[in-house]
Amino acid sequence: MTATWDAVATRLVAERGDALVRYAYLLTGSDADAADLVQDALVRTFGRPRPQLTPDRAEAYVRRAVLNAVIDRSRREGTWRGIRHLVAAPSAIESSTSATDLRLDLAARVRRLAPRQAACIVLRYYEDLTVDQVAATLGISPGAVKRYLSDALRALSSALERDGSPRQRRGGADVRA
Amino acid sequence: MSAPDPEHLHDADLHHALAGSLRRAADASSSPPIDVDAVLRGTRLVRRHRRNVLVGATATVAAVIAGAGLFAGVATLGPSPASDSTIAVESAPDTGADAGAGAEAGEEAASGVAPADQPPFADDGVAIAAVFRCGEPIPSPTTATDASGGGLVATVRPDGAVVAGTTGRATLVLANTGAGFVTGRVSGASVAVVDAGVAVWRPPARGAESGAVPDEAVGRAIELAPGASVELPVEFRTERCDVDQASEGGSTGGAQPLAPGAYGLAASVAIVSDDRPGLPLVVVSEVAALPVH
Repeated sequence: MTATWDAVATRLVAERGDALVRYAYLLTGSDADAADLVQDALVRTFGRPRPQLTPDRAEAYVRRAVLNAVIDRSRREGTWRGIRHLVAAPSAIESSTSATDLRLDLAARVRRLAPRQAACIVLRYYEDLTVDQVAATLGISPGAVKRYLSDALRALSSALERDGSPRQRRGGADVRA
Repeated sequence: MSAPDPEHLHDADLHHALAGSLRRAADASSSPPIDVDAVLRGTRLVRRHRRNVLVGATATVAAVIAGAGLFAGVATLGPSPASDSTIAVESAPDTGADAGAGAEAGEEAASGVAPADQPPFADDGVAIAAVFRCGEPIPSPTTATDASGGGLVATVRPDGAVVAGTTGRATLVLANTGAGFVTGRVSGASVAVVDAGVAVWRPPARGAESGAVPDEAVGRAIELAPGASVELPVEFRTERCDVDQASEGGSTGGAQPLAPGAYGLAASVAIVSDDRPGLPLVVVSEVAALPVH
């Protein structure tokens, strides 16, 4: 029985390890953090006896564990962000050049979303999963996925418009009736 | 009833741009590959720890049931012990340090309030010193059996080979392999040089001349997130402890150097968790190889 989880873990890492690391990278933006997060998530997933664990189910567990770790980290950083202005002034004001770069870098904007929104966006648009598959992967309802996706897309769209992207010049009619 | 499909609410351009941008970002990442061996090692540690916790919890439940059964038996045979035990606690302080500690514990239990800041680690020090006994088999590797410190795993890493009759150094790593945060203080640490499963050296009592676990390690606050670890420096002597004097603190100045050969090094650490301030968690490492020249 012990060999079973060993085999599943080995196969998962061999076949889906890169995909998992890329998923974590898209959520964190850090190469080193991504690998660490996935490694921890794998240990957490396989460290608990789970009957009839297949690579597919294990991958969903790992993705959930990665997301939970990102959420935890986000909460910790959020605490600091909330009080940072009390102790330090911003060292520099973003230049228009960097704003332009950011406008082009949608991936960076995705990382600024709430973690669950970002995870839904990554799974939907990078992994190309359906809404139902995203829901199954993250262990939430399809309705919640749709809500996260909608909120995330609205936030991304608004951010682009604030930066004066072509969408705004066009009139910003990105919401269909 | 269900939420509208977001695909229909936003521009296809945005979806397309999003997919392309995410793909480019992912392709540009240069994350190191997952170390499958490290994953398997870590998982085995976590699983073993989980088993230990389960066994410990089962034993505790069995002991509680047995104790309750015993108590029920005594209660049916004799007078009510409740008033007697209260008197015993109240009269204890007159009979010395141990009894005083018992009374203190009794007061804490009676008030139901944890002590604000427990400065002394003397009792914990005794507990950790008793883990390795000179000339006796060392205990099996174990993790904390307490649920709040359930993920603590200790490993010891000698700095290298050591010359017989000298002081060696090692690093004791305490890792939190559990899912929750562990906060508390190190209340003691100990090491043992092991030969064929038997402790041939262990530190003398604190305050002795040589081989003591560095004082700075004791009382150190720890705050371990899941997956985090803390390193504690430990020292040991490659000499044989005197079994006759083991109860007095182990080796003395005239201790005999170990014969060169392959030995092992084991370590234990006691943690006072913030969740359970009165109960130190003792974690024992596996035996690491220690060559003695």
